Amino acid sequence: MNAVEARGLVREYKPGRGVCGVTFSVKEGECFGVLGRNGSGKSTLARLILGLEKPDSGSLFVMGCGMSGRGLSPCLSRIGAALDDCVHWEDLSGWQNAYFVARMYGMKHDLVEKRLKELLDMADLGANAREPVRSYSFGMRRKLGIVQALCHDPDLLVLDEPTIGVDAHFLLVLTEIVRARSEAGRATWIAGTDAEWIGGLAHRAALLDSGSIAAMGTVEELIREVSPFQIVETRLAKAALIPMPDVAGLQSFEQSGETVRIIVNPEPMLVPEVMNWIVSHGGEVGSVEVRKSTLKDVFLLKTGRALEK
Amino acid sequence: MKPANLFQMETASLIASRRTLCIKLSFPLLLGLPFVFFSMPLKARLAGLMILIVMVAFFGSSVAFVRRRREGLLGRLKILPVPMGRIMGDLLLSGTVVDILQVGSVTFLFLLVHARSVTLQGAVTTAGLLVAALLLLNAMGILLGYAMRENSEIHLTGGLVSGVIVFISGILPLPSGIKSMVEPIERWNPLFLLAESIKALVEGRAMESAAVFILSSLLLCVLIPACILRALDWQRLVCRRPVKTSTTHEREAP
Repeated sequence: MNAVEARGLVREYKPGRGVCGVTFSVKEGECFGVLGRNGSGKSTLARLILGLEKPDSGSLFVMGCGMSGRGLSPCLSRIGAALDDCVHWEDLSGWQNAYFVARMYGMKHDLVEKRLKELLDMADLGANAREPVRSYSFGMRRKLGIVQALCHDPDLLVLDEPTIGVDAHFLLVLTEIVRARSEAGRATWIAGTDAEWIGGLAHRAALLDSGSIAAMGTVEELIREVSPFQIVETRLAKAALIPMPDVAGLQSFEQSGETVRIIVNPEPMLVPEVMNWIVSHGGEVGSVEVRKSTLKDVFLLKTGRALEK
Repeated sequence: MKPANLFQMETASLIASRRTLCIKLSFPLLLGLPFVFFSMPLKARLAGLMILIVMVAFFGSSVAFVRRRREGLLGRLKILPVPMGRIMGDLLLSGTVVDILQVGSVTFLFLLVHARSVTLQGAVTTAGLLVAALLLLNAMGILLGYAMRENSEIHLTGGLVSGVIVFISGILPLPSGIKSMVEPIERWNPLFLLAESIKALVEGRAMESAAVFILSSLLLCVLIPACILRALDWQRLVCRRPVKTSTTHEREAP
Protein backbone atom coordinates (compact mmCIF):
# COMPACT_ATOMS: atom_id res chain seq x y z
CA MET A 1 0.00 0.00 0.00
CA ASN A 2 1.27 3.49 -0.85
CA ALA A 3 1.40 6.04 1.96
CA VAL A 4 0.01 8.68 -0.41
CA GLU A 5 -1.73 8.07 -3.72
CA ALA A 6 -2.90 11.17 -5.59
CA ARG A 7 -4.47 11.07 -9.04
CA GLY A 8 -5.45 14.13 -11.05
CA LEU A 9 -5.74 16.24 -7.91
CA VAL A 10 -7.27 19.66 -8.56
CA ARG A 11 -7.73 22.45 -6.00
CA GLU A 12 -7.75 25.84 -7.63
CA TYR A 13 -8.40 29.07 -5.74
CA LYS A 14 -8.17 31.00 -8.97
CA PRO A 15 -6.52 30.16 -12.31
CA GLY A 16 -2.82 29.51 -11.70
CA ARG A 17 -3.12 29.28 -7.89
CA GLY A 18 -3.46 25.99 -6.06
CA VAL A 19 -2.86 22.62 -7.68
CA CYS A 20 -4.09 21.54 -11.07
CA GLY A 21 -4.18 17.85 -12.03
CA VAL A 22 -1.37 16.55 -9.83
CA THR A 23 -0.62 12.83 -9.85
CA PHE A 24 1.99 11.21 -7.61
CA SER A 25 2.46 8.50 -5.05
CA VAL A 26 4.63 8.05 -1.99
CA LYS A 27 5.64 4.51 -1.17
CA GLU A 28 6.18 3.17 2.34
CA GLY A 29 9.73 3.87 3.45
CA GLU A 30 10.15 6.50 0.77
CA CYS A 31 11.13 10.13 1.19
CA PHE A 32 9.32 12.14 -1.46
CA GLY A 33 10.29 15.76 -2.09
CA VAL A 34 8.25 18.46 -3.78
CA LEU A 35 10.22 21.41 -5.06
CA GLY A 36 8.57 24.59 -6.22
CA ARG A 37 8.70 28.35 -6.09
CA ASN A 38 6.54 30.35 -3.68
CA GLY A 39 2.89 30.08 -4.71
CA SER A 40 3.47 26.99 -6.86
CA GLY A 41 0.95 24.96 -4.81
CA LYS A 42 3.19 23.09 -2.34
CA SER A 43 1.30 24.18 0.77
CA THR A 44 -2.05 23.50 -0.92
CA LEU A 45 -0.82 20.00 -1.66
CA ALA A 46 0.27 19.55 1.96
CA ARG A 47 -3.14 20.76 3.18
CA LEU A 48 -4.88 18.38 0.77
CA ILE A 49 -2.82 15.44 2.05
CA LEU A 50 -3.76 16.33 5.63
CA GLY A 51 -7.45 16.67 4.78
CA LEU A 52 -7.50 20.37 5.68
CA GLU A 53 -8.84 21.09 2.21
CA LYS A 54 -10.99 19.05 -0.10
CA PRO A 55 -9.97 18.60 -3.74
CA ASP A 56 -12.25 20.03 -6.44
CA SER A 57 -11.64 16.84 -8.39
CA GLY A 58 -9.32 13.87 -8.55
CA SER A 59 -8.70 11.16 -6.02
CA LEU A 60 -6.46 11.07 -2.98
CA PHE A 61 -5.70 8.21 -0.62
CA VAL A 62 -3.55 8.79 2.44
CA MET A 63 -2.51 5.72 4.47
CA GLY A 64 -5.35 3.89 2.75
CA CYS A 65 -8.02 6.43 3.71
CA GLY A 66 -9.93 8.21 0.96
CA MET A 67 -11.60 11.57 0.97
CA SER A 68 -15.18 10.27 1.07
CA GLY A 69 -17.12 9.18 4.15
CA ARG A 70 -15.13 9.78 7.34
CA GLY A 71 -12.25 11.10 5.28
CA LEU A 72 -8.83 10.91 6.89
CA SER A 73 -10.13 10.66 10.47
CA PRO A 74 -9.30 6.95 10.93
CA CYS A 75 -5.73 7.50 9.71
CA LEU A 76 -4.84 10.77 11.42
CA SER A 77 -3.13 8.96 14.31
CA ARG A 78 -0.60 7.58 11.79
CA ILE A 79 0.24 10.99 10.30
CA GLY A 80 2.48 13.70 11.70
CA ALA A 81 2.65 17.12 10.15
CA ALA A 82 4.50 20.41 10.44
CA LEU A 83 2.98 23.02 8.17
CA ASP A 84 4.59 26.27 7.13
CA ASP A 85 2.68 28.29 9.75
CA CYS A 86 3.97 27.82 13.30
CA VAL A 87 0.85 27.60 15.43
CA HIS A 88 1.30 27.19 19.15
CA TRP A 89 -0.35 28.27 22.40
CA GLU A 90 1.86 31.29 22.94
CA ASP A 91 1.48 31.61 26.71
CA LEU A 92 2.36 27.98 27.34
CA SER A 93 5.86 26.54 27.23
CA GLY A 94 7.29 24.67 24.27
CA TRP A 95 7.27 21.54 26.39
CA GLN A 96 3.57 21.94 27.26
CA ASN A 97 2.69 22.49 23.59
CA ALA A 98 4.58 19.39 22.51
CA TYR A 99 3.25 17.34 25.45
CA PHE A 100 -0.35 18.23 24.54
CA VAL A 101 0.09 17.22 20.89
CA ALA A 102 1.80 13.95 21.84
CA ARG A 103 -0.96 13.05 24.30
CA MET A 104 -3.56 13.83 21.64
CA TYR A 105 -1.89 11.14 19.54
CA GLY A 106 -2.61 8.67 22.31
CA MET A 107 0.91 8.39 23.68
CA LYS A 108 1.28 7.44 27.32
CA HIS A 109 2.56 10.04 29.80
CA ASP A 110 5.81 8.26 30.68
CA LEU A 111 6.68 7.63 27.08
CA VAL A 112 5.91 11.23 26.09
CA GLU A 113 8.28 12.57 28.74
CA LYS A 114 11.10 10.34 27.53
CA ARG A 115 10.52 10.94 23.83
CA LEU A 116 10.09 14.69 24.21
CA LYS A 117 13.31 15.05 26.17
CA GLU A 118 15.13 13.15 23.43
CA LEU A 119 13.64 15.20 20.58
CA LEU A 120 13.86 18.61 22.27
CA ASP A 121 17.51 17.99 23.09
CA MET A 122 18.15 16.95 19.48
CA ALA A 123 16.51 20.16 18.31
CA ASP A 124 18.58 22.23 20.75
CA LEU A 125 15.39 23.30 22.51
CA GLY A 126 16.01 21.42 25.75
CA ALA A 127 17.26 24.50 27.60
CA ASN A 128 14.30 26.62 26.49
CA ALA A 129 11.63 23.93 26.73
CA ARG A 130 10.06 25.38 29.87
CA GLU A 131 9.91 28.94 28.54
CA PRO A 132 6.71 30.30 26.99
CA VAL A 133 6.56 29.97 23.20
CA ARG A 134 5.94 33.73 23.15
CA SER A 135 9.65 34.19 23.87
CA TYR A 136 10.79 31.83 21.08
CA SER A 137 12.42 32.99 17.86
CA PHE A 138 10.93 32.05 14.49
CA GLY A 139 13.42 29.21 14.04
CA MET A 140 12.69 27.82 17.51
CA ARG A 141 8.97 27.81 16.75
CA ARG A 142 9.62 25.96 13.50
CA LYS A 143 11.74 23.38 15.29
CA LEU A 144 9.08 22.93 17.96
CA GLY A 145 6.51 22.30 15.21
CA ILE A 146 8.72 19.61 13.69
CA VAL A 147 9.34 18.04 17.11
CA GLN A 148 5.56 17.86 17.60
CA ALA A 149 5.18 16.16 14.22
CA LEU A 150 7.87 13.60 15.04
CA CYS A 151 6.92 12.82 18.62
CA HIS A 152 4.57 9.90 17.94
CA ASP A 153 6.84 8.46 15.24
CA PRO A 154 4.18 8.63 12.52
CA ASP A 155 3.97 6.28 9.56
CA LEU A 156 3.66 9.31 7.30
CA LEU A 157 5.46 12.56 8.06
CA VAL A 158 4.37 15.67 6.16
CA LEU A 159 6.80 18.60 6.32
CA ASP A 160 6.02 21.85 4.55
CA GLU A 161 9.05 24.13 4.14
CA PRO A 162 11.01 22.55 7.02
CA THR A 163 14.25 24.33 6.12
CA ILE A 164 12.91 27.87 6.49
CA GLY A 165 14.31 29.62 9.56
CA VAL A 166 16.05 26.61 11.10
CA ASP A 167 19.79 26.28 11.66
CA ALA A 168 22.16 24.00 9.73
CA HIS A 169 22.68 21.76 12.76
CA PHE A 170 18.99 21.02 13.03
CA LEU A 171 18.81 20.27 9.31
CA LEU A 172 21.54 17.65 9.77
CA VAL A 173 19.60 16.15 12.69
CA LEU A 174 16.41 16.15 10.63
CA THR A 175 18.22 14.50 7.73
CA GLU A 176 19.36 11.69 10.03
CA ILE A 177 15.86 11.30 11.47
CA VAL A 178 14.24 11.11 8.02
CA ARG A 179 16.84 8.57 6.84
CA ALA A 180 16.25 6.43 9.93
CA ARG A 181 12.51 6.65 9.27
CA SER A 182 12.98 5.45 5.70
CA GLU A 183 15.04 2.52 6.91
CA ALA A 184 12.24 1.66 9.33
CA GLY A 185 9.74 1.68 6.44
CA ARG A 186 8.10 5.02 7.27
CA ALA A 187 7.20 7.49 4.56
CA THR A 188 8.10 11.18 4.50
CA TRP A 189 6.65 13.89 2.27
CA ILE A 190 8.63 17.11 2.15
CA ALA A 191 7.85 20.30 0.27
CA GLY A 192 10.21 23.21 -0.01
CA THR A 193 12.44 25.45 -2.04
CA ASP A 194 15.79 24.16 -0.78
CA ALA A 195 16.82 22.01 -3.77
CA GLU A 196 20.15 21.10 -2.24
CA TRP A 197 18.73 19.70 0.98
CA ILE A 198 15.75 17.97 -0.62
CA GLY A 199 17.96 16.66 -3.44
CA GLY A 200 20.31 15.08 -0.92
CA LEU A 201 17.53 13.53 1.13
CA ALA A 202 14.63 12.53 -1.11
CA HIS A 203 14.45 9.24 -2.98
CA ARG A 204 12.13 10.79 -5.53
CA ALA A 205 11.18 14.38 -6.24
CA ALA A 206 8.51 16.26 -8.12
CA LEU A 207 9.04 19.75 -9.53
CA LEU A 208 5.88 21.76 -9.03
CA ASP A 209 5.29 24.83 -11.16
CA SER A 210 2.06 26.86 -11.19
CA GLY A 211 0.15 23.97 -9.64
CA SER A 212 1.32 21.30 -12.08
CA ILE A 213 4.13 18.78 -11.92
CA ALA A 214 6.76 19.76 -14.47
CA ALA A 215 8.95 16.72 -13.85
CA MET A 216 9.06 13.79 -11.47
CA GLY A 217 11.42 10.90 -10.80
CA THR A 218 14.32 9.84 -8.68
CA VAL A 219 16.75 12.67 -7.97
CA GLU A 220 19.42 10.85 -10.02
CA GLU A 221 17.05 10.46 -12.99
CA LEU A 222 16.12 14.12 -12.91
CA ILE A 223 19.71 15.30 -12.70
CA ARG A 224 20.71 12.90 -15.48
CA GLU A 225 18.31 14.76 -17.75
CA VAL A 226 20.34 17.94 -17.27
CA SER A 227 23.80 16.39 -17.05
CA PRO A 228 24.38 16.37 -20.83
CA PHE A 229 24.19 20.16 -20.68
CA GLN A 230 26.68 22.68 -19.38
CA ILE A 231 25.53 24.66 -16.35
CA VAL A 232 27.18 28.06 -16.44
CA GLU A 233 26.89 30.50 -13.57
CA THR A 234 28.07 33.97 -14.46
CA ARG A 235 28.52 36.85 -12.07
CA LEU A 236 28.42 40.29 -13.65
CA ALA A 237 30.84 42.92 -12.44
CA LYS A 238 28.40 45.58 -13.58
CA ALA A 239 24.71 44.80 -13.51
CA ALA A 240 22.84 45.28 -16.77
CA LEU A 241 19.63 43.77 -18.05
CA ILE A 242 20.72 41.24 -20.65
CA PRO A 243 18.17 40.17 -23.28
CA MET A 244 17.68 36.47 -24.06
CA PRO A 245 20.71 35.47 -26.20
CA ASP A 246 19.95 34.58 -29.78
CA VAL A 247 22.34 31.61 -29.73
CA ALA A 248 21.55 28.17 -31.11
CA GLY A 249 22.07 25.48 -28.47
CA LEU A 250 20.98 27.66 -25.55
CA GLN A 251 18.55 25.72 -23.32
CA SER A 252 17.83 28.23 -20.60
CA PHE A 253 18.84 31.75 -19.60
CA GLU A 254 17.84 33.24 -16.25
CA GLN A 255 19.08 36.54 -14.83
CA SER A 256 18.67 37.55 -11.23
CA GLY A 257 20.43 40.86 -10.57
CA GLU A 258 24.12 40.29 -11.08
CA THR A 259 23.83 36.52 -11.39
CA VAL A 260 23.10 34.86 -14.72
CA ARG A 261 22.39 31.13 -14.89
CA ILE A 262 22.71 29.56 -18.30
CA ILE A 263 22.12 26.02 -19.50
CA VAL A 264 23.68 25.27 -22.90
CA ASN A 265 24.41 22.26 -25.07
CA PRO A 266 27.85 20.71 -24.45
CA GLU A 267 29.52 22.38 -27.42
CA PRO A 268 32.87 24.05 -26.63
CA MET A 269 32.15 27.32 -28.48
CA LEU A 270 28.74 27.96 -26.95
CA VAL A 271 29.96 29.40 -23.62
CA PRO A 272 32.24 32.03 -25.24
CA GLU A 273 29.43 32.85 -27.67
CA VAL A 274 26.97 33.56 -24.84
CA MET A 275 29.66 35.57 -22.98
CA ASN A 276 30.17 37.66 -26.11
CA TRP A 277 26.42 38.28 -26.24
CA ILE A 278 26.45 39.45 -22.61
CA VAL A 279 29.38 41.80 -23.20
CA SER A 280 27.86 43.14 -26.42
CA HIS A 281 24.68 44.01 -24.49
CA GLY A 282 26.38 46.09 -21.81
CA GLY A 283 27.24 43.36 -19.30
CA GLU A 284 30.70 43.18 -17.75
CA VAL A 285 31.56 39.59 -16.90
CA GLY A 286 33.11 39.26 -13.45
CA SER A 287 33.41 35.48 -13.14
CA VAL A 288 32.27 32.39 -15.01
CA GLU A 289 31.79 28.98 -13.42
CA VAL A 290 30.85 25.79 -15.22
CA ARG A 291 29.58 23.37 -12.55
CA LYS A 292 27.84 20.05 -11.85
CA SER A 293 24.08 20.05 -12.36
CA THR A 294 21.68 20.00 -9.39
CA LEU A 295 17.93 19.87 -8.91
CA LYS A 296 17.92 23.66 -9.20
CA ASP A 297 19.14 23.33 -12.78
CA VAL A 298 16.54 20.67 -13.51
CA PHE A 299 13.90 23.07 -12.25
CA LEU A 300 15.25 25.86 -14.44
CA LEU A 301 15.36 23.60 -17.47
CA LYS A 302 11.88 22.16 -16.96
CA THR A 303 10.04 25.32 -15.99
CA GLY A 304 12.15 28.02 -17.60
CA ARG A 305 12.33 29.79 -14.22
CA ALA A 306 14.86 29.67 -11.41
CA LEU A 307 13.74 28.00 -8.17
CA GLU A 308 14.99 30.87 -6.05
CA LYS A 309 15.45 34.52 -6.92
CA MET B 1 0.72 21.75 34.36
CA LYS B 2 0.81 18.89 31.86
CA PRO B 3 -2.16 19.40 29.54
CA ALA B 4 -3.53 16.09 28.29
CA ASN B 5 -6.60 17.45 26.49
CA LEU B 6 -7.85 20.65 24.92
CA PHE B 7 -9.85 21.67 28.00
CA GLN B 8 -6.70 21.50 30.11
CA MET B 9 -4.70 23.24 27.39
CA GLU B 10 -7.14 26.16 27.21
CA THR B 11 -7.33 26.44 31.00
CA ALA B 12 -3.54 26.24 31.34
CA SER B 13 -3.20 28.89 28.66
CA LEU B 14 -5.51 31.21 30.62
CA ILE B 15 -3.63 30.91 33.90
CA ALA B 16 -0.16 30.87 32.33
CA SER B 17 -0.13 34.59 31.68
CA ARG B 18 -0.94 36.72 34.72
CA ARG B 19 -1.47 39.75 32.50
CA THR B 20 -4.09 38.00 30.34
CA LEU B 21 -5.77 36.57 33.41
CA CYS B 22 -5.93 39.99 35.10
CA ILE B 23 -7.36 41.64 31.99
CA LYS B 24 -9.88 38.86 31.41
CA LEU B 25 -11.15 38.94 34.98
CA SER B 26 -10.96 42.64 35.76
CA PHE B 27 -12.44 44.00 32.54
CA PRO B 28 -15.96 42.54 32.94
CA LEU B 29 -15.85 43.44 36.62
CA LEU B 30 -15.05 47.07 35.79
CA LEU B 31 -17.77 47.16 33.15
CA GLY B 32 -20.27 45.66 35.58
CA LEU B 33 -19.48 47.89 38.56
CA PRO B 34 -21.75 50.80 37.45
CA PHE B 35 -24.73 48.43 37.39
CA VAL B 36 -23.90 47.28 40.91
CA PHE B 37 -23.16 50.59 42.60
CA PHE B 38 -24.68 53.45 40.58
CA SER B 39 -28.17 54.57 41.48
CA MET B 40 -30.64 53.32 38.86
CA PRO B 41 -33.88 51.30 38.67
CA LEU B 42 -33.56 47.52 39.19
CA LYS B 43 -34.69 46.88 35.59
CA ALA B 44 -31.85 48.98 34.24
CA ARG B 45 -29.34 47.25 36.52
CA LEU B 46 -30.53 43.83 35.34
CA ALA B 47 -30.54 44.89 31.68
CA GLY B 48 -26.95 46.13 32.03
CA LEU B 49 -25.85 42.91 33.70
CA MET B 50 -27.51 40.75 31.01
CA ILE B 51 -25.98 42.83 28.18
CA LEU B 52 -22.59 42.34 29.82
CA ILE B 53 -23.19 38.57 29.93
CA VAL B 54 -24.16 38.53 26.24
CA MET B 55 -21.11 40.57 25.25
CA VAL B 56 -18.65 38.48 27.25
CA ALA B 57 -20.06 35.05 26.44
CA PHE B 58 -21.54 35.37 22.95
CA PHE B 59 -19.49 38.13 21.37
CA GLY B 60 -16.30 36.99 23.13
CA SER B 61 -16.61 33.36 22.05
CA SER B 62 -17.46 34.22 18.43
CA VAL B 63 -14.49 36.60 18.10
CA ALA B 64 -12.17 34.10 19.84
CA PHE B 65 -13.29 31.34 17.46
CA VAL B 66 -12.56 33.42 14.36
CA ARG B 67 -9.19 34.47 15.82
CA ARG B 68 -8.30 30.83 16.46
CA ARG B 69 -9.16 29.95 12.87
CA ARG B 70 -7.23 32.93 11.46
CA GLU B 71 -4.16 32.00 13.52
CA GLY B 72 -4.37 28.42 12.20
CA LEU B 73 -5.07 26.89 15.60
CA LEU B 74 -8.25 25.19 14.40
CA GLY B 75 -6.39 23.73 11.43
CA ARG B 76 -3.75 22.43 13.86
CA LEU B 77 -6.47 20.82 15.97
CA LYS B 78 -8.18 19.35 12.90
CA ILE B 79 -5.15 17.23 12.01
CA LEU B 80 -5.05 15.67 15.47
CA PRO B 81 -6.69 12.25 15.74
CA VAL B 82 -9.44 13.57 17.99
CA PRO B 83 -13.11 13.74 16.96
CA MET B 84 -14.22 17.24 16.03
CA GLY B 85 -17.09 16.92 18.52
CA ARG B 86 -14.65 16.50 21.39
CA ILE B 87 -12.60 19.47 20.23
CA MET B 88 -15.69 21.67 20.05
CA GLY B 89 -16.95 20.28 23.37
CA ASP B 90 -13.67 21.15 25.07
CA LEU B 91 -13.67 24.62 23.52
CA LEU B 92 -17.26 25.14 24.67
CA LEU B 93 -16.60 23.85 28.18
CA SER B 94 -13.39 25.82 28.69
CA GLY B 95 -14.99 28.95 27.25
CA THR B 96 -17.93 28.57 29.64
CA VAL B 97 -15.65 28.06 32.65
CA VAL B 98 -13.72 31.23 31.78
CA ASP B 99 -16.98 33.13 31.34
CA ILE B 100 -18.26 31.85 34.69
CA LEU B 101 -15.16 33.37 36.29
CA GLN B 102 -15.59 36.58 34.32
CA VAL B 103 -19.29 37.33 34.80
CA GLY B 104 -19.85 35.14 37.85
CA SER B 105 -17.82 37.59 39.92
CA VAL B 106 -20.01 40.52 38.78
CA THR B 107 -23.21 38.55 39.41
CA PHE B 108 -21.97 37.48 42.85
CA LEU B 109 -21.08 41.08 43.74
CA PHE B 110 -24.48 42.23 42.45
CA LEU B 111 -26.29 39.72 44.70
CA LEU B 112 -24.01 40.51 47.64
CA VAL B 113 -24.94 44.18 47.44
CA HIS B 114 -28.61 43.98 46.43
CA ALA B 115 -30.10 40.59 47.43
CA ARG B 116 -32.35 40.78 50.47
CA SER B 117 -32.23 37.10 51.36
CA VAL B 118 -30.66 34.21 49.46
CA THR B 119 -32.19 30.78 49.87
CA LEU B 120 -30.45 27.60 48.75
CA GLN B 121 -33.10 27.10 46.07
CA GLY B 122 -32.66 30.65 44.82
CA ALA B 123 -28.88 30.36 44.76
CA VAL B 124 -28.94 27.01 42.91
CA THR B 125 -31.51 28.29 40.41
CA THR B 126 -29.50 31.45 39.72
CA ALA B 127 -26.22 29.55 39.40
CA GLY B 128 -27.80 26.96 37.11
CA LEU B 129 -29.42 29.60 34.93
CA LEU B 130 -26.16 31.57 34.72
CA VAL B 131 -24.35 28.42 33.57
CA ALA B 132 -27.15 27.58 31.10
CA ALA B 133 -27.08 31.09 29.66
CA LEU B 134 -23.29 31.05 29.34
CA LEU B 135 -23.27 27.60 27.72
CA LEU B 136 -25.95 28.60 25.23
CA LEU B 137 -24.32 31.93 24.40
CA ASN B 138 -20.91 30.29 24.00
CA ALA B 139 -22.36 27.64 21.69
CA MET B 140 -24.11 30.32 19.63
CA GLY B 141 -20.88 32.34 19.51
CA ILE B 142 -18.95 29.32 18.22
CA LEU B 143 -21.64 28.68 15.59
CA LEU B 144 -21.50 32.28 14.41
CA GLY B 145 -17.69 32.17 14.42
CA TYR B 146 -17.86 29.02 12.31
CA ALA B 147 -19.96 30.81 9.70
CA MET B 148 -17.81 33.96 9.56
CA ARG B 149 -14.34 34.20 8.02
CA GLU B 150 -12.79 37.55 8.81
CA ASN B 151 -12.26 39.54 12.00
CA SER B 152 -14.11 42.52 10.57
CA GLU B 153 -17.08 40.30 9.63
CA ILE B 154 -17.37 38.80 13.09
CA HIS B 155 -17.14 42.16 14.84
CA LEU B 156 -19.98 43.59 12.76
CA THR B 157 -22.16 40.47 12.73
CA GLY B 158 -21.38 39.64 16.35
CA GLY B 159 -22.46 43.10 17.47
CA LEU B 160 -25.63 42.87 15.44
CA VAL B 161 -26.58 39.39 16.67
CA SER B 162 -25.77 40.39 20.27
CA GLY B 163 -28.34 43.17 19.84
CA VAL B 164 -30.92 40.69 18.55
CA ILE B 165 -30.26 38.32 21.48
CA VAL B 166 -30.74 41.15 23.96
CA PHE B 167 -33.85 42.25 22.06
CA ILE B 168 -35.57 38.83 22.10
CA SER B 169 -34.59 38.18 25.71
CA GLY B 170 -37.16 40.65 26.98
CA ILE B 171 -34.66 42.35 29.28
CA LEU B 172 -35.19 45.72 27.64
CA PRO B 173 -38.54 47.53 27.57
CA LEU B 174 -40.28 46.71 24.27
CA PRO B 175 -43.40 48.14 22.55
CA SER B 176 -46.46 46.04 23.45
CA GLY B 177 -46.87 44.73 19.86
CA ILE B 178 -43.37 43.33 19.76
CA LYS B 179 -43.48 42.18 23.38
CA SER B 180 -46.33 39.78 22.62
CA MET B 181 -44.18 38.23 19.88
CA VAL B 182 -41.16 37.87 22.16
CA GLU B 183 -43.06 36.50 25.18
CA PRO B 184 -43.29 32.85 24.00
CA ILE B 185 -39.47 32.76 23.65
CA GLU B 186 -38.90 34.28 27.08
CA ARG B 187 -40.19 31.20 28.90
CA TRP B 188 -37.36 29.12 27.41
CA ASN B 189 -34.74 31.80 27.37
CA PRO B 190 -32.15 31.23 30.14
CA LEU B 191 -31.09 34.87 29.94
CA PHE B 192 -34.61 36.11 30.69
CA LEU B 193 -35.05 33.47 33.39
CA LEU B 194 -31.70 34.45 34.92
CA ALA B 195 -32.81 38.08 35.09
CA GLU B 196 -36.05 36.95 36.71
CA SER B 197 -34.20 34.77 39.18
CA ILE B 198 -31.84 37.60 40.20
CA LYS B 199 -34.82 39.92 40.44
CA ALA B 200 -36.54 37.46 42.77
CA LEU B 201 -33.46 37.29 45.03
CA VAL B 202 -33.21 41.10 45.11
CA GLU B 203 -36.88 41.27 46.07
CA GLY B 204 -36.34 38.68 48.80
CA ARG B 205 -38.31 35.79 47.28
CA ALA B 206 -37.47 32.59 45.45
CA MET B 207 -38.47 31.94 41.83
CA GLU B 208 -41.76 30.10 41.79
CA SER B 209 -41.02 27.64 38.99
CA ALA B 210 -40.00 24.23 40.34
CA ALA B 211 -39.14 23.06 36.82
CA VAL B 212 -36.51 25.79 36.46
CA PHE B 213 -35.02 24.81 39.82
CA ILE B 214 -34.89 21.12 38.87
CA LEU B 215 -33.37 21.82 35.44
CA SER B 216 -30.83 24.22 36.93
CA SER B 217 -29.82 21.65 39.56
CA LEU B 218 -29.54 18.96 36.87
CA LEU B 219 -27.36 21.17 34.71
CA LEU B 220 -25.01 21.88 37.60
CA CYS B 221 -24.96 18.16 38.45
CA VAL B 222 -23.82 17.42 34.87
CA LEU B 223 -21.47 20.35 34.30
CA ILE B 224 -19.45 20.17 37.51
CA PRO B 225 -18.52 16.46 37.08
CA ALA B 226 -17.86 17.12 33.36
CA CYS B 227 -15.37 19.83 34.26
CA ILE B 228 -13.72 17.60 36.88
CA LEU B 229 -13.50 14.76 34.36
CA ARG B 230 -11.81 16.96 31.76
CA ALA B 231 -9.59 18.73 34.27
CA LEU B 232 -7.99 15.53 35.54
CA ASP B 233 -5.55 13.37 33.62
CA TRP B 234 -7.11 10.00 34.29
CA GLN B 235 -4.42 8.08 32.49
CA ARG B 236 -1.77 9.41 34.87
CA LEU B 237 -3.99 8.98 37.91
CA VAL B 238 -5.22 5.46 37.21
CA CYS B 239 -2.43 3.82 35.19
CA ARG B 240 0.69 4.62 37.18
CA ARG B 241 3.38 2.46 35.62
CA PRO B 242 7.17 2.57 35.68
CA VAL B 243 8.95 4.36 32.80
CA LYS B 244 9.53 2.02 29.88
CA THR B 245 13.01 1.64 28.51
CA SER B 246 11.94 0.35 25.08
CA THR B 247 12.58 2.70 22.16
CA THR B 248 9.49 1.68 20.23
CA HIS B 249 6.63 4.10 20.66
CA GLU B 250 3.63 2.28 21.91
CA ARG B 251 0.34 3.90 21.05
CA GLU B 252 -3.07 3.59 22.56
CA ALA B 253 -5.86 2.47 20.29
CA PRO B 254 -7.30 5.64 18.73
